[in-house]
Amino acid sequence: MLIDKTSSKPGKQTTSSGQDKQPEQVLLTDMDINIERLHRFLGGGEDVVCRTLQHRSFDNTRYAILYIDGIVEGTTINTLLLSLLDDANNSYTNEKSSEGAGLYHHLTEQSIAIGKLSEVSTIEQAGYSILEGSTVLVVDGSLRAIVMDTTGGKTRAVEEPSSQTVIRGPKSGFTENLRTNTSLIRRIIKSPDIRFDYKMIGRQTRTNVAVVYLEGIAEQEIVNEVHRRLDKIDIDGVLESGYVEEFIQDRAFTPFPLLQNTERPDAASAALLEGQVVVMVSGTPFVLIAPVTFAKFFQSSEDYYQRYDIATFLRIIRMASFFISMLLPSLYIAITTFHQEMLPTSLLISLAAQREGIPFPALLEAFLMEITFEILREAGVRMPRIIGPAISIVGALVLGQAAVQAGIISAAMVIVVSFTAIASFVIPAVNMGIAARLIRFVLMILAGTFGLFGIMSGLMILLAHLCGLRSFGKPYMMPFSPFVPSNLKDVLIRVPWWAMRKRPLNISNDSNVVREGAGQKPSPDQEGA
Amino acid sequence: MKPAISTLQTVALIQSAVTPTLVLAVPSVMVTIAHHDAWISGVIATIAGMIMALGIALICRANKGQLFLEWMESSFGRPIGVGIGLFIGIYYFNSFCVIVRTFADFISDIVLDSTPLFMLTAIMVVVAAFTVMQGIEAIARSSFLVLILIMLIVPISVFVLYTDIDFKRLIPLFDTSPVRLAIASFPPIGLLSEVAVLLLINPYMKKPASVVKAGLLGTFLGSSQLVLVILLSLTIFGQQLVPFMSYAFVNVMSIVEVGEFLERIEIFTVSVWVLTMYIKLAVFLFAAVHCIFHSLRLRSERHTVIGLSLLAIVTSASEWPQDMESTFMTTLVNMPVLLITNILLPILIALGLLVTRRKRKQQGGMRKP
Amino acid sequence: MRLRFKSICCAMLLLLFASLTTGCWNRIELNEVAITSATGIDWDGNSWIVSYQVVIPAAISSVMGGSGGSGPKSPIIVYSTKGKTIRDAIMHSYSESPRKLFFAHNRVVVIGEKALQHGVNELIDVYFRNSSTRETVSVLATPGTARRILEQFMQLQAISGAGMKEIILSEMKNTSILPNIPVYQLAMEVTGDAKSAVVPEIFVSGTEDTSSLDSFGSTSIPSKLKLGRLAVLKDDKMIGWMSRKESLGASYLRDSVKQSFVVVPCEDDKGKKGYDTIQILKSSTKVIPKLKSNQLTFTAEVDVTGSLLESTCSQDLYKPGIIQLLEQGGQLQVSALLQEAWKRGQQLNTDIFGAAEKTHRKYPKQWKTWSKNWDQVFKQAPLETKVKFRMARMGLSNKSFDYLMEKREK
Repeated sequence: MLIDKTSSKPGKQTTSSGQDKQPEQVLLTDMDINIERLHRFLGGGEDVVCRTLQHRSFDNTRYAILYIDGIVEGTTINTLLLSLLDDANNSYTNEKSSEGAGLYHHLTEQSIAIGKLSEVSTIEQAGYSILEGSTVLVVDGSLRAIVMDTTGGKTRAVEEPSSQTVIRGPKSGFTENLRTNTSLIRRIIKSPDIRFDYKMIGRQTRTNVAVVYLEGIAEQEIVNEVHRRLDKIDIDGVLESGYVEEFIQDRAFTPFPLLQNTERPDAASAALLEGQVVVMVSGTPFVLIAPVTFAKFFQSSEDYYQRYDIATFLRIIRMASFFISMLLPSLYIAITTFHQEMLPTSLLISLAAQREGIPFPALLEAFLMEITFEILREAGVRMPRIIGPAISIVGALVLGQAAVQAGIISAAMVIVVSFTAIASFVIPAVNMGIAARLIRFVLMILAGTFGLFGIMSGLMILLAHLCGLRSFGKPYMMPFSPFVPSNLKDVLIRVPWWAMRKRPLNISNDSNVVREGAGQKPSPDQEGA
Repeated sequence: MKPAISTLQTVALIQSAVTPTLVLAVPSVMVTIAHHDAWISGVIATIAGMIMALGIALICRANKGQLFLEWMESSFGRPIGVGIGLFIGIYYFNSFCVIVRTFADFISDIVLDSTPLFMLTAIMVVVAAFTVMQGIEAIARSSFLVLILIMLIVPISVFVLYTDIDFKRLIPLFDTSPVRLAIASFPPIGLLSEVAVLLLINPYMKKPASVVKAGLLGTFLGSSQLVLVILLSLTIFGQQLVPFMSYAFVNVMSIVEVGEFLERIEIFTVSVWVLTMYIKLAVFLFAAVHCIFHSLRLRSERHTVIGLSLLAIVTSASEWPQDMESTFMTTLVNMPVLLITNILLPILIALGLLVTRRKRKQQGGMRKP
Repeated sequence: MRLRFKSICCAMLLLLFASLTTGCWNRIELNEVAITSATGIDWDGNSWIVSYQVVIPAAISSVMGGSGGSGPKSPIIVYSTKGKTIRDAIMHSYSESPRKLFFAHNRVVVIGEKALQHGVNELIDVYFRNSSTRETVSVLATPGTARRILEQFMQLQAISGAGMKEIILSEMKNTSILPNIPVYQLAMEVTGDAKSAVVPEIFVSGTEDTSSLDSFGSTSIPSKLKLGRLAVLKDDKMIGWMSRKESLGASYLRDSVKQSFVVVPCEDDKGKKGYDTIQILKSSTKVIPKLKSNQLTFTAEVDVTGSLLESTCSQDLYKPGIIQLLEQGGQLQVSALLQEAWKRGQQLNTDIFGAAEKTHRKYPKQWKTWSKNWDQVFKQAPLETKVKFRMARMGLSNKSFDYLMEKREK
């Protein structure tokens, strides 16, 4: 078993972050001092396990394994110990080299039953490896220590994603474990071109981050840019990919998400196949996808599993719902308080009849209802699952019906607000839905002040803002403006797979865009030929 | 990274820099002068506009990728370059204020009659300033999206108006004397000369060589909308009624009645028009900022935008206390200014370029032997 | 950096407050408007009397929803104001109405005969100058006062203003005797080459008013709103009425016939007389001016397609010649209508048929001289009619019922 000398460089990150300026402590020949120092480095908690052994063949040389209980895989540790003990009781006569070094070689090459090994020569390196869940083996008399990858312990199993569900399609979702997540991708894309570049972010959390891309398909410049931006992050802790997202997005002040997130391995793989770069952060099932365009947020992975006609229809519905959830309340305010002439007479009369006796102006009414709904929604997310039905009863009956019957809110406003709410749930990407939610309030104020003219002014600001946005240098409104006609095949409509011969231009590597063979359109006489 | 705008986006920019003012008050003025042959004047104006666009584009072709003012300075020396820059900058700033005022008057005539004019001009300038701060690229991209929207709206409008159209109202052709036709084509030609903004936009183009195509197409799209509005208003209302209407295209859309539910869609049309108007404002403010920023060698573009916008809000709201004065300003005073800056100045520049080039050639020739 | 952020925040907040506190310049809530469904205009000799039919939304919805508790409420209310100008009169309404009158949903404007004789220019000006009024409002004339028309209730339609518009539209679609004249069309005709226009008449048939909800307690109501004749305007002033028959002819000449009918007298083999009713499915008219030896003549080419609706003559429609007979009868009827209308137009000295425009288009040069005394030219111009009448269908039965009865008797 060869020792991979390059795979783990825990020391590098600390030096680059510039926080840990102490001289590195080198491992000494005296094992006890090493163990003592390691204990001190790790803070000596109860969960730090140190097991000392003696080897019969090598002059009873002592050696020890150190690990932190709970973050290592129990069964692996057991097999490791079994193999070590078994080995320690054997006697090898042909070994002649000096005790420490000889044992070290013997152990690495002949006795450890662990797949991934590496070696370290400083206390820090050894200590950080232990913190990551590896087991460190120190041998008395050796200046190096063996790091064995025993990462594991209790993690959540691969389950169906909770935030992005599909009717048809793979049911597995990412977990909090980075290794599991990379393996999920590996299982889908078995190409030798796939690259996983690892980094570590966070002074204290030392979170593993993987940058995943397909070499030759992803644009190298974007990959480099992702690396550059990730390397710049200097923060105590990264608990979720949201931390990373806020550091690496192109512009700080925008309601729109400039990176996509998903907890679906198939969606991440699809992104990779289209030349996007995926950033995985250990500790969260949500991976980031970049670069991304506005239209991407309206695509669901299911679009590609269902037939293209229904997928197209659903996409248009989603786009429409986005605009409804952004615009409907403000349009209602604008039309009923500024442009009543636009309503059909009978509708106007019935709206006017509903409004008789309502004490608030339409703007205030809409604000009240929208804020009520936002409170209800937040309550629904935060409260314990068991009291869920209570909230819905109170929300629907007390607030909805009673407010209308008491003549505080007009029935039409309740309809508008509920429709807006439902429409906002249709958008597959939650973060895009949030953008619509925030913009809605601004537009409502504009509509209440200037009517449709105000809405149009707000939309113009929005349009200019959207057109000025970039995601990793790629224009956010891409297939529309700048106009890339061939990308339109997978934006508002989704054409059948055999017609999408090229990857989206300008996102991926433009010298390599063809992704499928020509002439695959099914035709009745295909069989005969 | 230098911003790059595509040819299509340039077309859209030119289109939206020209159209909004063109379809507003001009059609009824033209019908007043040329009666039911006003559309012929429109066609004349289109041709004249395209010739102007061609001329401007040809001047642009002489530029080898430098910013307009850098180019001017390198060809004529710094003092003349700065002079041209300031002159154009002030012209664009002035037109920006005039346009803001015209639009504010229009909005206040159509929908928001009791909203203070100051608020209207303020919100318009704020939106334009915000758009300009996003950069010329964002303006160009937005204008392209707006153009798509117009391309969708125009056929729908014609379709819903179809039953009211009576082409017989245009007969007999050439009933009006050619002199009147020519006079009627003057106002649109003046406004079409605003295509000169191409001089400033050209250096930002991805393919500067396609500027001719972009200029011609943009002008054509813009003025064909003028002809369309004239045709629609004439075929629907007839020549006697159109002169009564201040904004013919609004009246045209207001008579649409499709069933009981689709009525009074002029507000929607106006809303789409508002978007093109904002693009136009952004283009003009951009031009003003660009010229003043570069010729005075200012340090922060953002602060230039803010300063000019504040000045513009005040100017457009209080320079002309009455609507009538601003109308007078836009129709009469502005006309010579338009022609001087957009036609005379480019001609002078072109002549100057020819002269300097010949001089250089001569100098080059002198050195050779 | 922090300072800048703070100042941006401050500016945003100020803007927000500014727009929230002062944001009521043009805003008007739905319960602050009085939705006007019809307007009436009268002239009492020196001032305008404008009447408004205002909808009471609450009453309407209880009529429609049936949930109103305390007895029937009138869904509309009518009141009038007086002023030197029309707008002046409307302005006076602010001193007596708790809500702002809202005209965008106004369906009809009814003009009293006196006001029509005074002139409609001012009304048209009001409609084109203001963005709150719509130009598609239908104009109706009435022989009495407009206010009385507005006061009438209508069967089946709670808002009589909207009902009047529905009547005129359905009348135009099905019988085409009277045209629907929106304000913009009236303006076009008044300003057109001939300076003549028409306005359909609406009147109360019956002596009593149906202005109380009590009338709806019984199956028949004491009076009804009915469309009648056609008012003819010359230079924006009314100069006379055209009978229904004449106005049907005028409709043919104006090419505004969509569907109509003619009743053709017929005679069977035994000399028994009866009538065939023919529905006109399609009709198109071309009025062509012709200049023959300095005399202007007009030819009306009418192309009519009809279908038999009812026949009281006992005849076998399969017999050859019968259809030709029917078609001939129709032809005669239609050309008589045309001639009658034309004569009446000449008699009133108004060219409401658009002949002036057509002449202008065809003879632009001569028009310059004619336009000065078009009335004289028009008065002397004879009308020729060429009617093409085609029977397209005979209905579901090809023999009249009378014919069958006779067969059985034999």
